[in-house]
Amino acid sequence: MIPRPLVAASIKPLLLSILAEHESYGYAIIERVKSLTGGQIEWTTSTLYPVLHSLENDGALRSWWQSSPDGPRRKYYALTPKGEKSLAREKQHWLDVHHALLELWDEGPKPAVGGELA
Amino acid sequence: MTGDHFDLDTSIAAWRRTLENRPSIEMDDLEELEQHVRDQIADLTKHGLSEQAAFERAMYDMGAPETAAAEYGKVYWGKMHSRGRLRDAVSARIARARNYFAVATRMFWRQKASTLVSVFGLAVALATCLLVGLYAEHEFTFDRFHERADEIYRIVWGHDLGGSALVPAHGATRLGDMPGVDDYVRIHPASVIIQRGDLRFKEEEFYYADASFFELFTFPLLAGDPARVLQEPNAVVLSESATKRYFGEENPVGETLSLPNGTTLEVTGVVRDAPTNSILQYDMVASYNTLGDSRDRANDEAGWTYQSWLYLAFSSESDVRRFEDHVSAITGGATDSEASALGFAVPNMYFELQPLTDIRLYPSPSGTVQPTGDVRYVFIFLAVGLLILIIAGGNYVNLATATSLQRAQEVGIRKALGAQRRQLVWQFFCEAALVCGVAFILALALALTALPAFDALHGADIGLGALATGRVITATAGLAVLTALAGGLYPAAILSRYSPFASLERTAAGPRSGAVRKGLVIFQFSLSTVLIVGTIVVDAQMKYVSNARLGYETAHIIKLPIPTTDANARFSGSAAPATRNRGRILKQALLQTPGVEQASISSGFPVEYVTGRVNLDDQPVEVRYVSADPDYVQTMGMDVLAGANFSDQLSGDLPRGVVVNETMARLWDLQDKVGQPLDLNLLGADRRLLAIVADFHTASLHQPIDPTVLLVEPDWFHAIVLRLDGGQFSSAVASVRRTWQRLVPDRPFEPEYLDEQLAQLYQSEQRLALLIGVGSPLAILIACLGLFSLTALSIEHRRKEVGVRKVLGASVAGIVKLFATDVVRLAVVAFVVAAPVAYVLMRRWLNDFAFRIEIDWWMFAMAGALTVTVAIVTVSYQSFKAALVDPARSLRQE
Repeated sequence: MIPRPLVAASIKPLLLSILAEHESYGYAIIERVKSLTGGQIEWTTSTLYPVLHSLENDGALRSWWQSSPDGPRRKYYALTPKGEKSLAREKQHWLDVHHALLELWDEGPKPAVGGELA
Repeated sequence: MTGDHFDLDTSIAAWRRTLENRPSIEMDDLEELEQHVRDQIADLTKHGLSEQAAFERAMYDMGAPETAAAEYGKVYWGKMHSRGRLRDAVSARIARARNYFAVATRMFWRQKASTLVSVFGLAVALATCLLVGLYAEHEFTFDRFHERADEIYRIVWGHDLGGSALVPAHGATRLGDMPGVDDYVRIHPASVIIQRGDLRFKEEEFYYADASFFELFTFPLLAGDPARVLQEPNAVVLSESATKRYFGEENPVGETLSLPNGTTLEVTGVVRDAPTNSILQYDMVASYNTLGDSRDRANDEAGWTYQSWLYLAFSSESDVRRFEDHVSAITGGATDSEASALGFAVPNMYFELQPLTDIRLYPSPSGTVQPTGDVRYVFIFLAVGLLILIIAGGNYVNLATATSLQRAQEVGIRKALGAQRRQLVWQFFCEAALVCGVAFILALALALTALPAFDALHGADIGLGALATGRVITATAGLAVLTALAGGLYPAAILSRYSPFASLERTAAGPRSGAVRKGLVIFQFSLSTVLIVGTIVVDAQMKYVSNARLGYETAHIIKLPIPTTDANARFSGSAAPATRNRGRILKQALLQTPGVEQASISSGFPVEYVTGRVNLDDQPVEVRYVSADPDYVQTMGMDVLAGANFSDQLSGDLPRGVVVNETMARLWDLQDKVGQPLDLNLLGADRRLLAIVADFHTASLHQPIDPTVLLVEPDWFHAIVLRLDGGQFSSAVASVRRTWQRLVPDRPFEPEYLDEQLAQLYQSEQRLALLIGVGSPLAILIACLGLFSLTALSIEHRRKEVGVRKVLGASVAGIVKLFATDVVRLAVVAFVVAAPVAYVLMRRWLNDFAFRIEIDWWMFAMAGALTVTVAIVTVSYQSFKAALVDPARSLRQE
C-alpha cells in the first residue's frame, strides 16, 4: 500500500501526464492509474474530481461535455498550453528526485565525493 | 427500502438525493459523478457481478456523501471566483437562509400554543435576568465611580458594647494626622433645619465636611472651585435638587441660607446629586470648620457632639500597614497614653480600616458595623435569576424536542429525500434563534415596565441609568444566544442521529433523557413548594408580629421633639434647663388640646433606649434605660403589676424613683421591694423602686426582653409622647398641629408615629415577604410551563397508546386520569423532597426571632395541595385535547 503522502504528491504529475497522452474523463483516468500502478494506487472520486476542477480553475485544463457513441454524456478534460508548461515543471522536479534516489540505490561503486567507502 | 427487485435507476436516484441539496456540489458535478458510477457499474457487470453487487461496490468506493461534499467544498469558492459567479453563489446562500426562516415562521404558526408558551416562558426568565443583573451591577459598583476609590478607607472603632463608624471629632483629626495617611476627610452628618425667606425645610442629609471632601471623592461640581468651596467656615455647597428646592432656576452661588439659631451660610458651589450607588448621599455639604474648632480640646463635649465619619486615603499598601501598626500600638498601650494620642479613650477600644468599596455590601472586618446592603442578598438574587433561566431554557428545549418529534415524520421524508444533518441543524437553529430573539425583545419590554416596581422593592432608585451602561443588556443577550444554541442543537442532534427510516417510525428519545426531564419538573415543583411554604410561614410570622402585644399601646401614639436652640442637640447628652422648661409648657398646652388623652415627656418611644451594665451576683448584665416622667406608664398604657398609684408618691422623690419591668424584678428578686430604696447602681446610687410593670418590647421581636428600667432623668428629656383619641385620630392630629404651630411657629410640625417606627424594625423581613410574594407565583408559573412541556412530550410519545385505548373503549375522563395520575405522582415526589428543605429553611429563619410562631403541619398540607392542584389543572388541558383526537388518526401515522 503506497503511503498517502506519496499518493497525494503524485496526483498532479500523474494526472497531467495521462491527459498529455490524450483527453479523457474521470472514470477512465482512475482505471488508467489503477492499471499503471498494478492496483497500488486507486483514486477515489473525492480525490480525483475536486483536483480536476481545481486544475481547471487554475487554467491548466479545459473541459467540455461530449456525447459518446453509446449514448451518455461525459465530461472530458484536456491539457491547455499552460497545463503543458506546468507538466514540464512537475516532470523536472520528479526527475531530479528520482535521479538522486537512483544514484543512492545503485549496486555499483559510487564516485568518491570526499567521503570514504563504507 | 428492501424490496424484492433491485432497480438500478431507482437506487442511483436515491443516491443522487443524498448529494443533491449540498451547496458545494453543482448540477454539473452531480451529472459527472453519476456517469462515473454508471461507468463503474457497467465495468463490474461485464466482469460478472450482478447489478446490485456492482451498485453496492460503487457506493462503497464513492464513500460518505459528507466526505465528497467536504472535498468539493474546498474548491467551491475558487470555482465560483474563477467563473465570475461569486455574487450568484452568495445570493444563493442568502436565499437558503431566508428559506430557513420562512419554514420556521410557518412552523410556529402551525403550533401557536407551544410557541407562545416557549416565548413567554423565556421572556419572563430573560426579564428576570435583566432585572437581577441591574440590581447586581448597582450593588457591586457601589462607590467605584470615585477616581481614588481604591485608595480610600473608612475608620470603624469598636469597644466592649459594640462600635460605630462615627468617631469623636478630635479623635478623627488625630487619626487623620497619623503616619501613612495621605489625606483624610471628616464628615459630620446632621439633620438641620434650613430656611430662606419663607421656605423652610428639614434637611436630613446635611453634611459638615472638611475641605478635602471634593479632593478625595469624585462628586463633580457644577459651580465653584473644588479646592476652595469648603475652605471658609459657614460655607455650604448645594446639590442640584437642593438648589431647585430653595432657588428654583436661579444661580445660588453667593446667596445665603440660615439656620433657626441665626447662623447664616453662604452658598459657595453647586454639586451634582450623588449617584444612587454611593453610600454618601448628601443634600448639602457645609464646611467642617463651621462647627467651631474642636481640634485641640481633648475629651471635649463638642468632640463627642460632633461625631464624624472618617475617610482616609493611602498611596500604597505599605502605607496602610504603617498606619494600622501605629494605631494598634497605641490602643495596645496604657489608657492615658491612648487618651493623649487619640484625644479620647474607652475601655478595650480598637480601630479598623474598611475599604470604601466594601462598605455597602460587607460588614466591617470584625463585624462591628453592618452594611446597608447585603452581599448575600445579591448572590441569592443572581443565583435565582440564573436558576430561573436554566429552568425556562430547559423547558424550552423540552418543548422544542417534543414538537420536533411531532415533525419527525416530515423530517424522515426529508431525510429520505436527501436533506442532510447540517441543513437540519441550521433549520432548528434558525427556529431557536427566532424564538430567543423575540423572547429577548419581549423581555426588554417586560423589564422596562417592571422597573419602577423593582426599584420600590429595593427601596433604591436604580432606574434607567444602570440600563444605560449596556453591560447587563449585553450579558443577557449573550445568555439568550446560548439558549438559542441549546434549543437549536439539541433537537437537531436527537433527530439527525436517526436513519431516515427510523424517523418514519418515530422511535422515542432514550429513557435516560426522560428521567432528566422528569427530574427537571420535580425540581421545579419542589422549588415552588418550598416558596409556597415560605410565603405562608413568613406571612404568618409577620401577622403575629403586627398583632403581637408589645406591653404598651402602639396605635394612636405620636411623638414630637422638644425644640432646642442647638440644632445638633440630638447628638449631645443633655437637655438644657431652657429645653426642659419648654417641654413643660408644651405638655401643659397639649393636655388642653382636644383629642389628646395623655401626654408624657421622655427620651422618646420605648425603642429609644440607652444601655448600661448592672452587676448581678458579681456578673455584669446589660440593662436598658428609658428616661420618662411619671405619666409615661399611663401614656403608653403599660400594665402595672405592683405599686399601683405610684405617681402619687412621686412628688418629693421625683428624681430618684425608678420603675422596672418584670424581667428585671425577677432577676434581682425585687418583687417585695416596691416602695423601698434599692442598693443597685442604676445610673446613680440611691434609687427607690416605685413600681413593677409587665415586660414590654424595647426592640423588634428578634430580641428577647432585657431587664429594663424607667427612670426620671430630665437631662434626657428630648420628646413629648402623646396618646390621641383613637376614634377621632385625624382631627386629633390636626388640633395638635394647631397647638404646635401656635407655640412653636418656627419649627415644622413633623410628628413620628409609633406604629410606623415599629414597622421600620422589620424592613428586611418586609422586603423578604415582598420578594417571596413575587417569587412564588413566578416559580409556579415556570413550573407549570415545565410541566406543560413535559406533558406535551409525554403525550407525543404515547399517542399510539392513547389511540389504542380509545379504540378499546376508554372514555375521555379515563385518558385524562391516565396522565393526571402520572403527574400527581411527580408532584408527590416533589413534595416529599421539598418538605424537609422548607422546614429547615423556615426553622432557621424563625430562629432569628425571640418571639415567633410555631411551624404547623397545615402549612405544608396547604402548600402540597396547591402544588398538586396546579399540576393537575395544567395536565388536564393538554390530555383533554389529546383524548379528543380521533384514534384513527393517531394510529394511522405509520
